[in-house]
Amino acid sequence: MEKRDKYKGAFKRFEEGKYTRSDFKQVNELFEADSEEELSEFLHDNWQSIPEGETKSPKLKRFIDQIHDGIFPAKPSTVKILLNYYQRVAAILMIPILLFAIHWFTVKEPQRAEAMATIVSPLGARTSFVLPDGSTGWLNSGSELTYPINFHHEREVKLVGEAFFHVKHQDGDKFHVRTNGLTVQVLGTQFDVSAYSANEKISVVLKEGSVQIFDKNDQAAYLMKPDERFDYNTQQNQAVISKVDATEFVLWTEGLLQFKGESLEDVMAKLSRWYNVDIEIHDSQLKKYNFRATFKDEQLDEILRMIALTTPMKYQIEERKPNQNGIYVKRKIIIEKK
Amino acid sequence: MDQPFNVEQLRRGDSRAFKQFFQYYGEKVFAFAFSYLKNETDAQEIVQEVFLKVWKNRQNLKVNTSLQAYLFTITFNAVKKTFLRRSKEQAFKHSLVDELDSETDVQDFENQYQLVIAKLELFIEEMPERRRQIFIARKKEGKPVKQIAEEMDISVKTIENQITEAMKYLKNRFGTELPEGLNLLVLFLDYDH
Repeated sequence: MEKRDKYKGAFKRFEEGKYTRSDFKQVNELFEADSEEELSEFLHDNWQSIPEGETKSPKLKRFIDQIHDGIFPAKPSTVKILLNYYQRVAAILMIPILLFAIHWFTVKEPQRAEAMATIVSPLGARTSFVLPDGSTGWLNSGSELTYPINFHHEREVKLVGEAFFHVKHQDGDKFHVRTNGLTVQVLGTQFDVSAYSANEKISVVLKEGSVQIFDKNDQAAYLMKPDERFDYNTQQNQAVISKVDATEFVLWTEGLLQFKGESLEDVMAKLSRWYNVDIEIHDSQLKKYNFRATFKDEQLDEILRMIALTTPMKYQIEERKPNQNGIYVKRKIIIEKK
Repeated sequence: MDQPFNVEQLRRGDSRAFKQFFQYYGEKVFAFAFSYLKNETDAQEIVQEVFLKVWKNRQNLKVNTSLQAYLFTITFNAVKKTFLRRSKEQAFKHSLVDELDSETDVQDFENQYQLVIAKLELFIEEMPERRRQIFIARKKEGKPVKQIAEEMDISVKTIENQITEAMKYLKNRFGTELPEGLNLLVLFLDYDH
């Protein structure tokens, strides 16, 4: 009987969140015990003490509504709408170059041996992908996506660069996107992750559903809602959440380049990945100049000419010459003040 | 019991009835799960799992007391399963604290245990990449030193040194400093439930 009271106290403190190490050990012990009788009794006491009633937390309320909407979808035929969407995308895009590299990691311990596959979208190309679980998406230029061949058990991919994911829902099976700094966890949804290694910034934009962001210590940091953007600065370890129109952030999957008041430096970084060229801005003031425009299936020269028309910049395209090894290097573009 | 939903309608799969049912029990299931799992995401997953189960099993629902009992049973099972899974993943941290505790007396490891574990996680994260890899392979994955040496193609001596250094580092950190880099953590911990 004495022992029982000891457990009872430990459970109470543990449940309330102020517990000692021995409290934790006792709670753990009962959870691990073969007989559920005592555990069930303590937990039932706690269950009884928590009132039911209208959910007050707005965040939880939204989450619960999402579960409800998942069971009772507002749109009658999601499948059809998505199909249409991909048909459209396929029509707009140039033929993506798909490089499929499979690395077999020979690990000595057999059960740890894990074969990994990497999808690479080279500079200047956008690549669509289908993962073994049926999840699909687009990989933006200069990006890499790595995943285990044996994908069904733990759905986890590693991303360097930008990708748009349409994750297939699997009962209770989460899907993780790891980047160098943050991890995004989802059940089934559509979202965009941008985590280029050269940038200090990692952005996640959520189109549908909900995703959980984890910080680099794998602590839950934020639960995102649709049309939100989560910007994380890896240098400063700070995050900013803003309201956005998510469709604008996935335009690249349709071959559209859109700039909405981004700095010329960011614009040029994007262009250099998109068209696989080196761009140098030789003026620090110009770098900060804000620029807005949308381009679709435009040649790089045409885009540069349009930017030059509306901003105080001029540009010069260096001729492509072979280097001393006889190899043609990337085209280089120099940008200066007018 | 004054329930704002109708079990008959639940059985028929009525959308409105389920909405009310979810809102009526959502916070309870969440709070219950959170009190053991101490993690918002895990607690939400429990809510989702439990509600989906109720939905799938809607045709067998009965009125009043047995509905509550049924809800408790499935929540209990879901929480227990997740608790045990997490506990297995985290076991090495608790053994580490035991080990540190027996070798140092600079910090009280007994009280505020949740904070102790949170600190430990941060300190491991702070280690240089290679040392952390070795440390995790040994302490978390429990691999023999010889095997790690073979896999990483370095000497047994180096592995042993790295682990000694790692333990020394943990002792020092626990002894001297408050955790830094908690910004993000603190920033988002104000969960409004």
